[in-house]
Amino acid sequence: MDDLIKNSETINRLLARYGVKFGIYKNGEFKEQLFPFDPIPRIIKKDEFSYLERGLRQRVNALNCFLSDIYGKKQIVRDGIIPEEFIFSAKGFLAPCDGVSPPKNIYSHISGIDLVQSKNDNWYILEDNLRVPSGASYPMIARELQRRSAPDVFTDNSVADNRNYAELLKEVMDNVNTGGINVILSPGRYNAAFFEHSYLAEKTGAVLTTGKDMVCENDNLYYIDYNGKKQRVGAVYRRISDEYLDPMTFYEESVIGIPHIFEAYKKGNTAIINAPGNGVADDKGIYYFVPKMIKYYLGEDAILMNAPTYLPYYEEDMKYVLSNFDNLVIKDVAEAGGYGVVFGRSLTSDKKSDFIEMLKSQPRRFIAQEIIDFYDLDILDENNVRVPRKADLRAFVLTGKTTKVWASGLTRFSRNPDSFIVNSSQGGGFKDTWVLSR
Amino acid sequence: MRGGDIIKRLKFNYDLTATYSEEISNHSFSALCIPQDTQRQKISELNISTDKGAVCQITNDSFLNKKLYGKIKTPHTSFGIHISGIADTGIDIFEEYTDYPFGAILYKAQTELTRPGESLTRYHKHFVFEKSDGVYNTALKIMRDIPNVFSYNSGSTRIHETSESAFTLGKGVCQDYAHIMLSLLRMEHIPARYVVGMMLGEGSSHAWVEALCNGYWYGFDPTNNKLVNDEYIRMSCGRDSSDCPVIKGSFYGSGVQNQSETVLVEEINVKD
Amino acid sequence: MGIITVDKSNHLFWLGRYTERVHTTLKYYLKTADMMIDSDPNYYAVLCEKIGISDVYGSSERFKKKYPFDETDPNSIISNLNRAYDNAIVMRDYIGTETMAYIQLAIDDIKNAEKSNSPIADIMLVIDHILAFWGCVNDIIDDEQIRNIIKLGKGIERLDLYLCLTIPDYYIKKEYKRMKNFLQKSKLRYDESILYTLDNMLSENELNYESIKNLVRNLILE
Repeated sequence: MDDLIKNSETINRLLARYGVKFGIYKNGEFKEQLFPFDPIPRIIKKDEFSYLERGLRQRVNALNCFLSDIYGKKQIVRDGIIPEEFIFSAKGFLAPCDGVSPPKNIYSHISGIDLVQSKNDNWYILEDNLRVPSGASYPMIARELQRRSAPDVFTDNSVADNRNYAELLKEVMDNVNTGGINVILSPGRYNAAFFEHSYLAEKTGAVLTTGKDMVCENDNLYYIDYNGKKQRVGAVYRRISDEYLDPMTFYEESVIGIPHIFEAYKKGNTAIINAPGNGVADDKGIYYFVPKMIKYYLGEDAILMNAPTYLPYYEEDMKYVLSNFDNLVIKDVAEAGGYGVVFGRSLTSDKKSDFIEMLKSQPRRFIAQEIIDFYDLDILDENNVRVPRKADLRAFVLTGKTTKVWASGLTRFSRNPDSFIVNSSQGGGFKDTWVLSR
Repeated sequence: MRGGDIIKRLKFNYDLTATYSEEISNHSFSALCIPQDTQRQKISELNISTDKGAVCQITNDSFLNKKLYGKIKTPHTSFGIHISGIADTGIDIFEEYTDYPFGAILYKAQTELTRPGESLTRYHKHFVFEKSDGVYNTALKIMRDIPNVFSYNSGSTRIHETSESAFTLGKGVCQDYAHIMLSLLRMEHIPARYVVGMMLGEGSSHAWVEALCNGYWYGFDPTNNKLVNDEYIRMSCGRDSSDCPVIKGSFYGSGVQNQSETVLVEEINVKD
Repeated sequence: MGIITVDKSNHLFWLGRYTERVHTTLKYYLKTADMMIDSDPNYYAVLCEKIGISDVYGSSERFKKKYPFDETDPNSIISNLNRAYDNAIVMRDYIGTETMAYIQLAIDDIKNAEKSNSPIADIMLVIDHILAFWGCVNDIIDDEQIRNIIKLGKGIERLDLYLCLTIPDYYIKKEYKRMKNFLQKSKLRYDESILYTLDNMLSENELNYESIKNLVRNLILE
């Protein structure tokens, strides 16, 4: 392990060499930054991983059932398990997707499930990301480089090789491909995750493209070469959000999408990965209902726990939230990326009463959660001293012929000792995640 | 309540012209302006034409509207869609509720455009509904009251204005009337949808509302404070105006799109 | 692979051009720096004029400091290297992470050289990494067409710079021949009548540098 720490400078230099960067906009200007890497890996033991694996597979399978139900018969709403307000007034519910079933009926092909571990060793689910979860490429390339800089460490510890992510991803694309090439659709160079788009294209052999190079004709999707020759596209791993995908179906002003791609998808002529409309299932309000979904669709108890969550929408929960306000973290269901998160105890009394007013007038907009006492992970600070920091784990669950959990994940940490926010957009860093194979 | 015996035969012509300030190319479009058969109306002699060599297809959107969509490759500065036909209207005064595609649940939820704010919430409070009113009379009461607080004015609201801001302004067009009525119906937990169509004697397309009353969709026209009858031809419906854009376009070029509509609906004699 | 869009062929072509521009201008920067030691202290002005950039430097000292390193100067070597990077980063799936890394390393070299005590000696590392980049293009990229588009860009740029620098005709003729080879293999569209004229002009004993330069600049079609 000391080898890794000794070599941390080498690794960071190598990460820079290979362009492991993410884009960020500061004062309206695009800048590329290195994603700070910490050499001390998070280690997950074999047993623990197989427990996580079972829980994550179960959760993602239930979420896929839910999406298929919501855009189909809506039985879970009719049976009163989830109130209709949580579905049909959610931004993530996309009416054009109603009645459309994706190839092989898979909605969430790549699910990024965020977890944290508490001091008493329990794992809790923090949130589900079923739209375009990003981040797998970072631990992939970091591992590649660490194996070069400290090979002995990997000989001594049996660490499951995580560089198979590209194979898993290719399997997922091939599984739903309707005949034609696989492409990765990126908004372009100036997107925060462009490194990842180009790296995954290189490693999976898919073609990296932007909307400009594709066209829909007769409800088929094509990629056009410099001679104007067309090649059919059977699967689009799109890294742009639903609203921008098709200006003819969603946001009309979008210039990064492909006009009429939705018609090709609707007719089963191309797969879109992940399916449009998934936002209805990873809404923070819906999160509360996932354990109920697992019971409803699979007849099983949830293996992995949610963080204890309250819905102010329910009167009883509102009462609890108001009387325990200082002990809770309140999240705006419409926000992501660490924004819209408020710790009750951190508000001044003026702000608190304003916030409570807002909570009372728009109860559907918020969820409240108990603050989990995180199990901190050590990182190396600027002086190469080990210090504990908050960290989470984004597990990647891939649904192809079967649902598989990638034996690694993206561990993100907060560099600020007082912060719980680990997002890269807010200055967080990442670690490799080791799953031990014995 | 069946009004099956009053049938009007309406001849309709719908012209949509989009013009561009500069030449555009690689033009994709989609349009929702094709009337189709419902329980209320039977369409015959339907003729759809487009110009500029557009390659077109027709599909059903998720609200079961007929969507015309396609592409024009050659550069141009204008594009026209022309729809004409005969509509027999007033066959029924309502449309029976079917469970497909959404069920009614979807239409109960407020949308970005109909979500009430302070002024609509205050306005809603002044209504007194009796239990005995039932859904239909509740909807009727709402429609009858709107003209008291909202007036017609064609330059004051934007396209896709929210019902709350239009209501605060106190004036607007048929789209705003319909959105305000949708907000109030949904506040009463009545499933309601936005409808776009044509109307006898009107020179452009019109918007109104349908409310689900005891298993049937009834049409209410809050702009004219009138129940939808055999003078109306329906083209599309959705949760609010953003689900029913008459035309959408995406193209290369910096041209600004300007669109104009000409609608002509005339009554002709029912043969025999 | 086998599918290259218009945008992608442009990126590859310009990747070739910018890496070559960095390579050759850097070599001439080193030569100029040497000349300025004892033969002609203002030789930099000659270089500027030949390669068609305005003399914004004013003194040989400023030229030595600014021309390689100033990112705000669009004609500087670092600016051209950044453009090469911009064209490379969008082509990762075609040229490979390994190949791309050498452009990043060249950027790092030039930034390190700026801070170093002997910038002119250290900047030579940039040339090493550009050569390594071209080595990777040959070695790693399987697709012949992709390789040839990059090399065509490199060939056109080199010819253009050599013509500007009025390098002896032997080298011009040699580079022209190489470029033509890549032109055929790249399958990019070009003006056949220009090529025909160029063939004739380059077979003459006395080369008309100015006319050849203008023709070369119009050879490749959009």
